[in-house]
Amino acid sequence: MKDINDEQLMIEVKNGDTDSLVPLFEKYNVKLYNFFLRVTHNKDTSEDLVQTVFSRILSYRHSYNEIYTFKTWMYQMARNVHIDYYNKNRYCVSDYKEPEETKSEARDAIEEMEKQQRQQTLKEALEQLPMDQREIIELSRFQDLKYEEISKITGNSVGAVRVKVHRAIKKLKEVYLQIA
Amino acid sequence: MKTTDCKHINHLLIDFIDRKLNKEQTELVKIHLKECKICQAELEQLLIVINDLNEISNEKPSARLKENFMYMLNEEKAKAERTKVIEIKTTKRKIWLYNPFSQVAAGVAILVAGVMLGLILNNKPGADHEVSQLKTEVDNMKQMLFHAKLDQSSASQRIQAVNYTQQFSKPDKKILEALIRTMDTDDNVNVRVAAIYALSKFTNETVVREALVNSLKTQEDALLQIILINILVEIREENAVNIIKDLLQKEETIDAVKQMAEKGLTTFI
Repeated sequence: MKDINDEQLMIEVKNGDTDSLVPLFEKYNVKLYNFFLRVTHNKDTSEDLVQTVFSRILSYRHSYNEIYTFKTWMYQMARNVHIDYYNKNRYCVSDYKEPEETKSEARDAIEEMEKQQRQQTLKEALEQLPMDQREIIELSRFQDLKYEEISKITGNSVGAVRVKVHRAIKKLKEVYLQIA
Repeated sequence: MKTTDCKHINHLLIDFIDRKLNKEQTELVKIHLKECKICQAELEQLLIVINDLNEISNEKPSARLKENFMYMLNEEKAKAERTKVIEIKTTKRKIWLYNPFSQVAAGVAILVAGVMLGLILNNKPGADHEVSQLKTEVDNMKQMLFHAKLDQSSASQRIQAVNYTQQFSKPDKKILEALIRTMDTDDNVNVRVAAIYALSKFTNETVVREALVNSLKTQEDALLQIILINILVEIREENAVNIIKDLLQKEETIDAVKQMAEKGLTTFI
């Protein structure tokens, strides 16, 4: 079976076959959810924001142009959705709790615990970064976007994106090693 | 020399870890790292952070997310269906020729144009006869339109039909009957008002005068009563006098109607 790429699916959505949005949702909802989760620290909010992104995709489907990769277009929307949310709720309470670890197969309990500890610390370090740095780390590390893609999403030049990513990671490194 | 090198290499370290550098840059970093302890330390620290960043696992959203998404998608589909229906409706409205009345009207227009053209082109004797024949045909068409429209469920369509009768030079019995029926029985007051006014143009017909008088007996709406009294007074319909008097006697007749009735009666004396 041939793989239909994101862009073809989105074109189908644009042409009225809204069901083609389902595979795109399946592919990206977890990533987007975690994107919002890491920047908002609120699960309910993150689910709502994912919903908002897909709702905007539907509303703006006629404006989708196949010269853009779907991913870039979607993250542009996700970013705007987050900015809108951020401007409205600067002082929002986090409902974030660590997920209960279910996959621990007692391979190496100590190592697992250490790893969890490190991840927790890293998350705390991430939280101490300013919003724009958290976002650029999110896009470049967690969403696996290339500098070129981030450049299209944020409107910065590729060079500027690269510098920003580096600064953010260095800042994260400092905070992380400090509290670790 | 070394410090500038360090600054330059430092900028490349993250991309070095991510293997985003080209061959030359990679070589440059490797060579530098061999002899620079500071940059080695930096690299080690960055490796820890980036490795740990890469380790952060994604969490799964709740089932609610998918449910809400599917719900939204279905809503969107339903909305699309609705707009489709509306679009079809508007195109129907645009293609006015599909409308039976418009078809008849267009038929009339084409017929008139055709015959006129024929008359102009061969101005032969007997044309007068053809013109009068044409007039009758047009009248027939108009009457057809009237009856078709009067059967419409929409009140405004029926009002249009009633008003249409003003175009008839001499309405036939059927049309007058239909107007009278409308005046007496239509559910909508506005349609009945229109029918009364339409009939008032044909008060030279005995049928119409009788109908107006009879209608005054039965109409219960004050507005209709007032209009009828006005018309009957204006045409000096003697047969209406007794009915107007009756209205004055009736308890349920409202004051405005009684005033009108009193005023009207004076003109008969």
